[in-house]
Amino acid sequence: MGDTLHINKGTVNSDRYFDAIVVGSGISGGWAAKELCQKGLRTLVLERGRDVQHIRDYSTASMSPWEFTHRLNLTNTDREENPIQSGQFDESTRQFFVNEKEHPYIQEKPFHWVRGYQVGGRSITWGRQCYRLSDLDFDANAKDGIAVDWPIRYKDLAPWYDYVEAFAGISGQAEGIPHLPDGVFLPAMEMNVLEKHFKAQIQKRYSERFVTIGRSANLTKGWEGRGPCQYRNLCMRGCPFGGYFSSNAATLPAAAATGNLTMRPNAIVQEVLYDTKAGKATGVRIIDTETNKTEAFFARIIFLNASTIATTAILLRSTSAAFPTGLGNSSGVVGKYLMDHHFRVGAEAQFDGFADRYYKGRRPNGIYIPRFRNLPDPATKHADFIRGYGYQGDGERQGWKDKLPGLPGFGAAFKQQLSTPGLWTMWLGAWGETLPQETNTVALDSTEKDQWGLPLVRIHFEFGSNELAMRKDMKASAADMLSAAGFKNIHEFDYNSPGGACVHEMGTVRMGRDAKTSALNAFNQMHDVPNVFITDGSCMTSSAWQNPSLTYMALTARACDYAVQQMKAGKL
Amino acid sequence: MLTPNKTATGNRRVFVKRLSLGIAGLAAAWGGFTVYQIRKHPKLSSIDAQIPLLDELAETIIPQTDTPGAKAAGCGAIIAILIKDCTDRSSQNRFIDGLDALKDYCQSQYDTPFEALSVERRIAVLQHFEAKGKPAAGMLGKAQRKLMGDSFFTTLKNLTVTAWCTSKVGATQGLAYDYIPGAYIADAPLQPGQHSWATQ
Repeated sequence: MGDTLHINKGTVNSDRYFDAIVVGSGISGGWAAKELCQKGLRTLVLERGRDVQHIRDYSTASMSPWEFTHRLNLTNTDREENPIQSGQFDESTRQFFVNEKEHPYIQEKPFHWVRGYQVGGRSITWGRQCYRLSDLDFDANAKDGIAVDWPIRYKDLAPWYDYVEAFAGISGQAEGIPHLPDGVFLPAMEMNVLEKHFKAQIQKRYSERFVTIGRSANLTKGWEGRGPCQYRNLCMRGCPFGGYFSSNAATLPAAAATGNLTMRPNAIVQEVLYDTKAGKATGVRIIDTETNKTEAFFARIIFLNASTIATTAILLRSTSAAFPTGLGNSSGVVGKYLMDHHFRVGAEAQFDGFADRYYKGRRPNGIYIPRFRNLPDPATKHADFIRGYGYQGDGERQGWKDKLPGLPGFGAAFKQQLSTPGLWTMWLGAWGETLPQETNTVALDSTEKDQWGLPLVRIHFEFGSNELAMRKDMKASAADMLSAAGFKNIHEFDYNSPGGACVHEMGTVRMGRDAKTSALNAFNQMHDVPNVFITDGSCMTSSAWQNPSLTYMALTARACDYAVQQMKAGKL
Repeated sequence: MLTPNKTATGNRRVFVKRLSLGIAGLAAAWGGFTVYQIRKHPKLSSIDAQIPLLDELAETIIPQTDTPGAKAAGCGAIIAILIKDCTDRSSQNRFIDGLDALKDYCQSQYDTPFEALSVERRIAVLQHFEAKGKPAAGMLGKAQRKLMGDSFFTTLKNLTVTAWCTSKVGATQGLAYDYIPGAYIADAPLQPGQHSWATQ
């Protein structure tokens, strides 16, 4: 990098001018910060929440159950004041979720907007499952004539998956499955005896179904100065061993190490500033949540990584004569086609056997069954729905919590039963693709405002008939497989969880080939505003069926590379 | 949780709906007083004074054996906290009323407070309340719980177990607590008498 990238503003206050601004410090924002800083750009990262320093601010990470006042249970106040967030946290992780009274939004239909307003965002509390998309996914919209075509294919993203995996550290097993491409893996975690039995039975009985160990951003060996995982399974509290990937543990320290990072917590981006004459964004206006004062910051490029719904709200708030319905929204698609994965459906069962076998350690990962419906092989076509789903699962022996409801009586014999391992059980839960629908929307309310005077976000979301049809198969196929593998007392479940509950919201600022029908191009650059890049979940053209965070990481690194090339070429 | 007897979901939904209506009818027939009893503002301030009694009740559920019991684990104080802060209103009321009923029962049957009873009599008292508070089986029990909360005995038993299994002596001596496993051993033979892991 040469000096050419640095803006020389002479007498102007230089702490307002940067080469790049990144809005948000979660998974994708952390990656943008790392990539841009390492490429030599003086980068300002704006985070609306408080600072959370790796290790120092993981206040509950080393606590045992008896050190919590409520022994990790939710309180009635938690449930009343935070009905949605409390579905995700317990007493040890509450500090990483927003207070819903302070941060309201409007649900036209039930939609869970789960948020973590802090440095690191939801990268502290994420599920860490990492799966690549393939051309089965990138081709899907074009083939089905749904929404718009992805402007990229697997070959465009594959080297960037390699790149981010090599830094993040993803443990997994290479399997050679075409629609779940292998990655750059750290050693795989091991399946326990029941899971191995299940895998063997499934592979004997189904030619198109695979069982593999989950691919997880937990470090099975020391990596880039982090980890390894200590198998405590307390990841969501923040890991003092740096045993899993988060912005706080990995990307933000790497960004800071360059000397190019300026981190500004407690800064809500009110709007992106747009210069009509220049035809590009000039910076952002923030509200300092501690002083309630507004300030402006300026940069040559801006990355929006505030998370799907928040990024959409920023664009919708950034109105101008050129963009009366929101920045970069000449297509009118901004705020439409909201997606989430649908889940909490599957089956669980008991197994007679392996009574003399157990395990030690708490593996923060399970098994995975990649999609087996509607693959290129016509024999896999399902009559009732398009696209597909994958299963996460795990086998374990019943502990005291599992045994309690079925144990009658009390006293010494009851205690003895309670204290010893019970039957082996297996749980399979499906995560399914959701089709983009124009009517699933994120908008700004015309009257209600939050404590900073910003219009409240209004969400309208419903799953469609394809998802509902898929759920029947998600449930039945789980039961079929458990039955085929010799399990008993099979219990199918479908908890009908609302949109957003999977915390995979996506799609409201989608990528596409045509500026008339999409907001972002193949490099996550706004068609209308070339110096604004968006690489969080809002960019997704389809949801695919895989957990999406790894794809956000790869898209971010790729977009950063492209943006800096364009700057060097004098085009930005 | 595993439910041994599966029912076709469609039928189950209809069944639950009918059942809920049935129970709502039942509650109405019961009259307003019972509904008032379980929905009223619970007298939570009285609970701290009952911690010594709660310790003895919990010890009857999880007694000292070759490993420490509920009393040694300080379960009474934890149960009081969990009742005050983490329990739904109906179950709170039924628990507080249940404690009064238990005291009355001990007086009328034995003319002695629970804490002064022999172990055999303590067991007999709790067996009486267990039988009285036994939830209905299957769907009826689920619907019942939703409408009326848990019985005194169910709450006492559940909270005793939670308090003991998450206590230091319960987790480390009664169960097996592995603070920092360091590794995952996917296949470990189960030793005779081995306790289950305290945390998952």
